[in-house]
This record gives sequence, C-alpha cells and structure tokens, in this order.
Amino acid sequence: MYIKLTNSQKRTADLYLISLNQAKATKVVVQTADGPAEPERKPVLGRKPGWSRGMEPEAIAAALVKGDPEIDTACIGRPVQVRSTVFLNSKSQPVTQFRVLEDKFLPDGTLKDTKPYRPTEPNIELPIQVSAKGNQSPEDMVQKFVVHKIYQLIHTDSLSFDFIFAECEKIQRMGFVRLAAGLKGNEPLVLRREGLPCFAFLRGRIEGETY
Amino acid sequence: MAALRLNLNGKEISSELSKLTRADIYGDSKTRVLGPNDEVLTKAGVSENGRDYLTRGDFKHALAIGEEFTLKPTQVVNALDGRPVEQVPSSFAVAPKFEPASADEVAQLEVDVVYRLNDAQLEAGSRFIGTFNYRAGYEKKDAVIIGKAEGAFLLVGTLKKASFVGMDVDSQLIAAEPAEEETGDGDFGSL
Repeated sequence: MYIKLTNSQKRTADLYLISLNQAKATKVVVQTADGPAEPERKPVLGRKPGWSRGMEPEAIAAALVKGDPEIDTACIGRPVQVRSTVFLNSKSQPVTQFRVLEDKFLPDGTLKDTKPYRPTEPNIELPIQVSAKGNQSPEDMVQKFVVHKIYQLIHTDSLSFDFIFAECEKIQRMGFVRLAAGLKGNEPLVLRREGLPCFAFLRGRIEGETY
Repeated sequence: MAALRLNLNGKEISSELSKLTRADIYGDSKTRVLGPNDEVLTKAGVSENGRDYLTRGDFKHALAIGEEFTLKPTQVVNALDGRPVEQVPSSFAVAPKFEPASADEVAQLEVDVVYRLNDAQLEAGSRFIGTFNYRAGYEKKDAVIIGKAEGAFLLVGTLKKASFVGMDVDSQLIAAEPAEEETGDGDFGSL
C-alpha cells in the first residue's frame, strides 16, 4: 500500500509499504499419476444448510435418532460458494431491518458500555508525520512494546529515494522514531477499515548507497 | 497445562505458561446484530444458487486437484526441493534452547502470541532468542524471552529481516507483495 510520509522539515514523499512475508518453506502435496500435485482447499456442504440451526446438541442427537435420515448425496459434499451475506432470525429467515451494537468489555470481562457500532476508518490517506516525541531506544522499545506487524518502506521514484535515504541516515542512531497520523499528527495509525489504531515507529539504517 | 522446560544460555529453567492477549490488558469489544424486538441475528452466507443460507458448520473443506476432488493422503514436503519434511516436535516434548540476544535482534520479531512465564525469575532487561512450537508442526516458530520487572514473557512469532534497498529497487519486491487478507462478503472466513 502507498503512504505519504512527512519529516520534521515538513517535506513529504510518496512511499510504498511492503510486508516482510517470506514464502512458506513447506507445501502440502498429493501423489498423482503425473507426480506430486499441490491440492486446493475447496468448500463443500457438510450438512443440509440450516438443518440444525438454533438447536442444542441434545436436540440434534434426538432428531437424528428419531428421524433416522439418510445422507442426501445430492446435497452433502456439493461444492459451494458464498455470493453475499445476510442476517437470519431464529426462524432462519433473512432480516433487512437490523442494527449493529458494539459491547466494550474491561480487562476483567465486565461490560463497560454498549454503543452503536461505528467501524474505524483508515487514516493513512493523509500524510503520516515523523513525531518529535515518543522516540525509543531499541532497549526501551523491546521492553515497552510488542511489535505486531513490521513493514518495510520502499521509495517510488528518485525524489522519494533521496528523501528516505536522508531520513534513514538521520534516524539511524536515534533508534525508533514515532510516527503519527491525522491532521494534527497526534493520532495512532489505522491502516485499513475496521483496523485497530496502532502505535507506529520508524527504524532507519543505511549501508553504502542503500537504505 | 504441563510446565515448559527451557534452556536459557545453558541454564535450564521450568515454568508454566499463561497466554496473554490484548483483551487481558486493554479489554475487548464484540459486536451484536439485533433485529426487530431486539432478537439476536445470525450471520449467514448466501450460496450461488441464492436459496441456501450457510452458517458456520454448514460447510467443510475438501481437497481438490483442478476440478477433481481427492481423498488421497497428503504429504508435507520442502517447497524448494520437494523432499519430505520431518515434523518439528512440540517445545513441551523437547526443551527449546535460547541464546542471549541484542535489542535490535529482538525488535525484528513480529509477534503472534505472548505468554507469561509464571515461574521464571529473570533479570529485568534480559533478552534471549530461540524457537518455540506450542504444538508439533512443520515449521519452527521464532521466539524471544524478555525479562521485565513485572515478570518474564515468551513472545512467539516470526523474525522479519529487511534487506537493504538501493536506487534500482527490485520491482519483484513490490510485485511479490501479497494482498492483505480480507474477510468480507463472499468469504467463508467472515461467517
């Protein structure tokens, strides 16, 4: 994904954010006449849709014993795809009038409050700013924070290369510098819709002509 | 839960683990969908024929090669050379080894799970790096152990090492970027 980064001199550059995911070291294969092949997982019907909806396990067992149904071979095992989603009531009928509530719980599990659900919106369309406060040394960083996601910033053109190279050179000795979002540069980053607001830090290093 | 034995730089320690989640520290939030008369509604997927409403448990996954489904046994092999891969035992069966690590190394860990080591007494600020597999699997998971004033913590995830980038950035770096996983309409994961 693309982001705009603004440094402390209020210069802004377009950069590309990449995940550092490596290819999996293993794969699952099935032996076939043509040699090993990588199978694909496809969804199939495992039971008649809605057959046991809303029933307790005891009621399902009783219904199976009483009805002694045969496996419907036209239904069970049939490949299936989901085209859209609906909300169903207890009679398995789609409902069009509904409201979504969000229950917030305290760490001990007690309900704090209930509000109409409003999804978080990403705030990375606006430039992300290098903050003057909140910088962390590597030692403090690993003691205070748990890093959930690591991205690498990549330049998109020669101007952004110069920008990010200079920025990495500057922050190399500083450890981790805090990044902030929002118009005032005081908000945590939200990368995608319904995403969690996150603290973000930038680490920079250079080696020769590379960063 | 069984106690975990760990080899920390040649010194063996033993501790019980307790999983620590974001909800344990900051709390949690859950959404409910209510219909008329405040009836709790269930999310369902509409199948391609438009008649079936699929809820969690209505579908399973089967293996297919092309259009053909198969029940043949599967084998886990090395992605590069195709040789069978041996299982990595659970860390509860074989005590994992951890070595002292710098803060820079530890900061490269993208953390998936955090455990508190209930019985471990580590010096605050101490850091160790190694691998940890809760269950037996086919890939080793990277892990670090951090000693803090509040206790000792085992962080499990994947070490992410960034490579240096020059002016002539390899376009493969960007082309290889996988799409972020999304769970929305038309996705079984959203049910």
